[in-house]
Amino acid sequence: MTRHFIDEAVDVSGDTLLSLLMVEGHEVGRRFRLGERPVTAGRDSHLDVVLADGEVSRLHCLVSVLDGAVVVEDLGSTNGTFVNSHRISTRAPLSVGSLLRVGEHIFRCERISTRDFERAEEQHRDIQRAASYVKSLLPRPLSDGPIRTEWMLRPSARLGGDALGYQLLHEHTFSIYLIDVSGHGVGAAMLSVSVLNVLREQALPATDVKDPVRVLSTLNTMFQMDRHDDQYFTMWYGVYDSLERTLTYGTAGHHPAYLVPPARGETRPLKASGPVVGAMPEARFQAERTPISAGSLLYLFSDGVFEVRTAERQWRLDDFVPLLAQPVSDDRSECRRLYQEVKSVSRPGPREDDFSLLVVTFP
Amino acid sequence: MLPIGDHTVGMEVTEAGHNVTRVSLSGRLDTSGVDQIETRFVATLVPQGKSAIVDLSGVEFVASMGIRMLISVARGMRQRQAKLALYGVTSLVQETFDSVSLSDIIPIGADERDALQLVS
Repeated sequence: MTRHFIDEAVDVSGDTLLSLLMVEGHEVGRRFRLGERPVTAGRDSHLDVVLADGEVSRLHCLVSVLDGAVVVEDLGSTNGTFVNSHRISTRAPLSVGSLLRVGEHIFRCERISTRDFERAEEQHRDIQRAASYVKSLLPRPLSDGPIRTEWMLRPSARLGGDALGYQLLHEHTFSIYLIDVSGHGVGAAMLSVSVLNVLREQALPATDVKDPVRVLSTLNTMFQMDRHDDQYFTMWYGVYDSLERTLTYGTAGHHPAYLVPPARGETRPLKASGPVVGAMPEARFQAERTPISAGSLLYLFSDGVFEVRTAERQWRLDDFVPLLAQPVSDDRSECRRLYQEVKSVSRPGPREDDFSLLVVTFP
Repeated sequence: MLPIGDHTVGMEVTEAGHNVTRVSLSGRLDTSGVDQIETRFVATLVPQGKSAIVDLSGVEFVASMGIRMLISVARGMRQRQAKLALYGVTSLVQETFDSVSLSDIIPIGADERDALQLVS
């Protein structure tokens, strides 16, 4: 392919250009311009599209514009390159509207105006700054101490409405929580960040943060829907006492978290009574308490983890929960194991909701 | 490959008698589905200040955006002294409603007659 040939192809429709829009992956919403030169994709940092994805080869594929049409070429990748779910052998056309999958990343081929592309680039930079701020609020995984943690948060849009956290409250007590704001995107993210900051800074007025009922009640007073753009959120909030080895928890319209014993094979739902936060000022919440045995794992997750569509039907919570009890993997984290399990049953295409999962191990 | 945004939702408005509006919804109340009907759903139910029942027997799935729409309308109606009740809830949707304790916020009837009693 010559440079002259490619440039000619781009100019065919005047001020429009062909692009790849990431619809699933680490930078949902990011666009990549096609046509000025072949676009390379893979794990290597010097490529045009760098994908931090274990299923992607170092140099995975190449996307070019040939005679006004987009062509994708697999460069001998280990796990393959897919166009509309079909693995390509070497080279295949990628028509406008088609989906290109590389590892866990999915792109849609689109033709848009040059002006819209430039505007999207600017928006992307702004959103990236906001996403970076949200990320900075999330806690680092803990690999030592009375609790060990790992988590995965994959927004379905550029910014998500889910947030999670855990922190030392007082000597031997820890709070553990997950928030799921209705919907996703920038509006939902702004509310989840507001709630997250209040919890991180323990800025709930006159509230004992070791008491889940008080925490949920105060949040419900602070975040009524009519003062927060008609958005509500669900929440699971627990307090672990590492001396007593007990977990006290409350839920606000959130499905249960699950406790799995060291022997695996069974799951215990942890849910207390309480509606979503923000729907009614007079809401009442309850708390429950459970002993924690050494080696147990706690799984907290958003509904986007299990509300997926398989080729045949809508998945539900009962479909997902048995996966939690399966043995842990030797070579994958629990978050990655569960993400891949869910992904393997989901129908192709971008996710419809945020995927958020927090796994806490009690040594 | 299933197309993206292949959701369709239906909304039919009829009179249920006794000055109560009946709205029958169908399809998936997810982000895309709610985008399609929310304006009409809100405009139909909130400004008139009249009680209403919503038939969900044709709704196969409700995501958080769908729940938000129902709660938002129920709150708007309550401010106008009107009541809202749901009925015809399928088992999958009931599971979702149970997990968010929706019945604490909006009454859910077993059938139309039950729903009419709840708003009367």
